[in-house]
Amino acid sequence: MFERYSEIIPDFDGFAHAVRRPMASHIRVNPARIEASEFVRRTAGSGHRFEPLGWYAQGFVVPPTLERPGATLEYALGLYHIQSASSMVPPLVLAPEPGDRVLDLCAAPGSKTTQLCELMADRGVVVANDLFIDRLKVLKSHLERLGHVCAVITRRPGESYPGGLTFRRVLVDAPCSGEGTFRGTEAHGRSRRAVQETADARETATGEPPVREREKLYRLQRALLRRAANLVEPGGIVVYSTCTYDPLENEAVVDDLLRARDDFILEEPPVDVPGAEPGLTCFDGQRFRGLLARARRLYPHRLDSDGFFVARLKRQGDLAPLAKGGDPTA
Amino acid sequence: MGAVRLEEGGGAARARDDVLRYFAERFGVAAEAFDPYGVIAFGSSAWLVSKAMPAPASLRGFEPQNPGVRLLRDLGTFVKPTSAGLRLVGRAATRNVADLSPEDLWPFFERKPIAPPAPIEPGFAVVRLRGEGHVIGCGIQTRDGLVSQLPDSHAAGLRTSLFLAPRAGEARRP
Repeated sequence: MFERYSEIIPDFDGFAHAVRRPMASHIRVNPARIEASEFVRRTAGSGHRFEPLGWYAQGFVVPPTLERPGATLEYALGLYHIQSASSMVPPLVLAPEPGDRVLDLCAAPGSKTTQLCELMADRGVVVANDLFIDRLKVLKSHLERLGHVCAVITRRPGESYPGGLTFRRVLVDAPCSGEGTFRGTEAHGRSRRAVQETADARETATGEPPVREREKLYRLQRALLRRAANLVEPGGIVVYSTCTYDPLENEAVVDDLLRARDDFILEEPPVDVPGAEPGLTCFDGQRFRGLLARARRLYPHRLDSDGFFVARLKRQGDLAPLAKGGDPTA
Repeated sequence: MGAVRLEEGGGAARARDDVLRYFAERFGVAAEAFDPYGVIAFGSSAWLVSKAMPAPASLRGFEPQNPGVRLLRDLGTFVKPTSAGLRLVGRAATRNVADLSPEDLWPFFERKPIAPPAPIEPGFAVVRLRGEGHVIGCGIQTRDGLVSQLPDSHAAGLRTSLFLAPRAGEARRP
């Protein structure tokens, strides 16, 4: 199913081999509950040797001795969260600071939301928005288990998220075809299901007519990013990410915003992820702005994790100092 | 323990004072344990929030849910501490605390009354894992003994992790 990307994915044979292999599992230690070094000592005492990712102090590779990382006392007590390594990248690229006002526009099931809370040391506000009730339940359970007090949940369509609040940083981890999460032999079927499930879920939640094509997904992604651009303060940051390889869902969406809004520029990410490739400037006859090379593509043969795309957009201007207490309504 | 009044919009300072008084009287939690947090009333609950959390009333158009971590539920005639809230402030408890061993926890997770290791006044208790210091959640001391008030999903996760999932090659069910 990935043959259409053979011209854009470096070492395509290595990529094709990687997607047929099982993926490593990763966790993120919750520093509000335990220091990473203490966590390593504690789990080593139980016979499990967690290896650090190396580029993120809280990130670790789950050792093969631990078959069920979701069935440990440490997990139940909120000492860590299970999250793929590549999924940890978008919050690091957004790089929120304690006291910030952050909007996570498509938040559920919440791995990135809880990571944002962690990066902010639970100081400030993360508005975690999503539309789907079942996914919000999972988000709530993660927030409770990990003990994050700086998040508040809202349930509105992201593409028409109300005004009245502005944010210093916005994460758009958009619904996508999910190609990057595929590992195994049923790639084609799973990816098509992912597209259909996303479309069907939106149809149920919004009452909109059936949405079955990738182009419809592109329109949603474009609308989400454009809405985020209206919600971020001058000088603020918007990060757009997906877990798919499709340039239509990635570079084309960011390119659309850059053409529509000349007050946004694409920045290099502030984190150096091993094996990350630059974004594309052309695909299948379509040319994107040269700035798209500042986006990053993550491939499973370069980083043993899900495939991802991430782009950091800055709205030009000077970021206003935080209001006293960081109240976004102030 | 009926002195806590969780009236939304009733004043953040009063909500905080009431909550701190309850935790001091019931669990001996010093006020300093709440220093990192704001306390707000929202719905029929008190919530632990970051100090930058906007007043829920200002978020009406956004359909806000779950600001922070729910700490106390107002059940009309009394208030009940939540397990999630106790996991944040229960480490500072000095009164009505049950430090349970794994052997105690198996029946506790099945909601069977158990004899606490130390006397507990009738009412809610902070349940901790003996030797670890980690707070597991909430229990209630009844005439029959200490009974779990953990949410089913949390109890199931703890039971699996403590007894059913092999750790370093050993099955731990007592």
